[in-house]
Amino acid sequence: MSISIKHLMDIISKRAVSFLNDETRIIVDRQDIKLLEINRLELNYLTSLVTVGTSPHIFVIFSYEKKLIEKIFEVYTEELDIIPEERLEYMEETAGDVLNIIVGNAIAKCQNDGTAISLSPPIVISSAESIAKSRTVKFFINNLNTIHGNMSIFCVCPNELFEV
Amino acid sequence: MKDQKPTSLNFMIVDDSGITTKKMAKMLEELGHNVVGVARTGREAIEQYMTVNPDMVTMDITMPDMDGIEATKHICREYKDAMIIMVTSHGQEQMVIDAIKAGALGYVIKPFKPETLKASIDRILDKFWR
Repeated sequence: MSISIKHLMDIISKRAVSFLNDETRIIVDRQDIKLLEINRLELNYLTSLVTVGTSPHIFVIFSYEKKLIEKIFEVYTEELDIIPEERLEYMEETAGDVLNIIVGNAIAKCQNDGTAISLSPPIVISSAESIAKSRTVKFFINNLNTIHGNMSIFCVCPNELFEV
Repeated sequence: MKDQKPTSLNFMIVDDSGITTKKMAKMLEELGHNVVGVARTGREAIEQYMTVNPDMVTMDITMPDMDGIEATKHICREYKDAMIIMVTSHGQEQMVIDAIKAGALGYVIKPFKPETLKASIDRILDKFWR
């Protein structure tokens, strides 16, 4: 897969900002992209994760503060009848859908050599505080700030993809 | 082949996300169509296609078990008149080519508005009822 993680992080961040604005009317006030070498990611209330490409995989993770995913869910499902018992399940699916749409749209802008870049179905993680790796790895992190709360975008992959 | 272009079709929705299925069903019903089947994986779609016998299918690509491209290949191999629209977040040109090669007749990229879905359905119907 001929794609650099920096480029992927940039296009995912840009698409996330436009998606929030266009589809949920949530404005991102501030962004803070950083490259960190850490072995533990601190997670927010709800987290969704996909893998991009086959080998080596890039992991893309969105981690939402409670207030923000509740607001996204409220707008994303405003025309649907959702009973209270289904609310949490559908909120988790919304977290997965938003990630899937943003990353799926973003990778259309990645050049590849005649083969489609694959995307895994999203996995949603709730009630987790952190993800740990056994050794230190590099993560690109972008924190998106909105008046409804914050979300973090993480990209993690093997070190060779950082070189491009 | 019927003489008159149908205005109301029976749809099967194939998507692993319940919320997307719910949104799609509402959109299709508002466009005057019926939802007669829902499948959450590619394999389920193949199994259900024969019993549900839909006029048209909306098919996600990224699903567990079997993806939408593979499911489309299977269905189109068995049912030569199957009408399948891929509905996916994948905007890659190569993915569109793969879907068309598999037998899909239309391609809609999420997120989309009802008029985009309607236009895709109409384009497929126009091919068969011109």
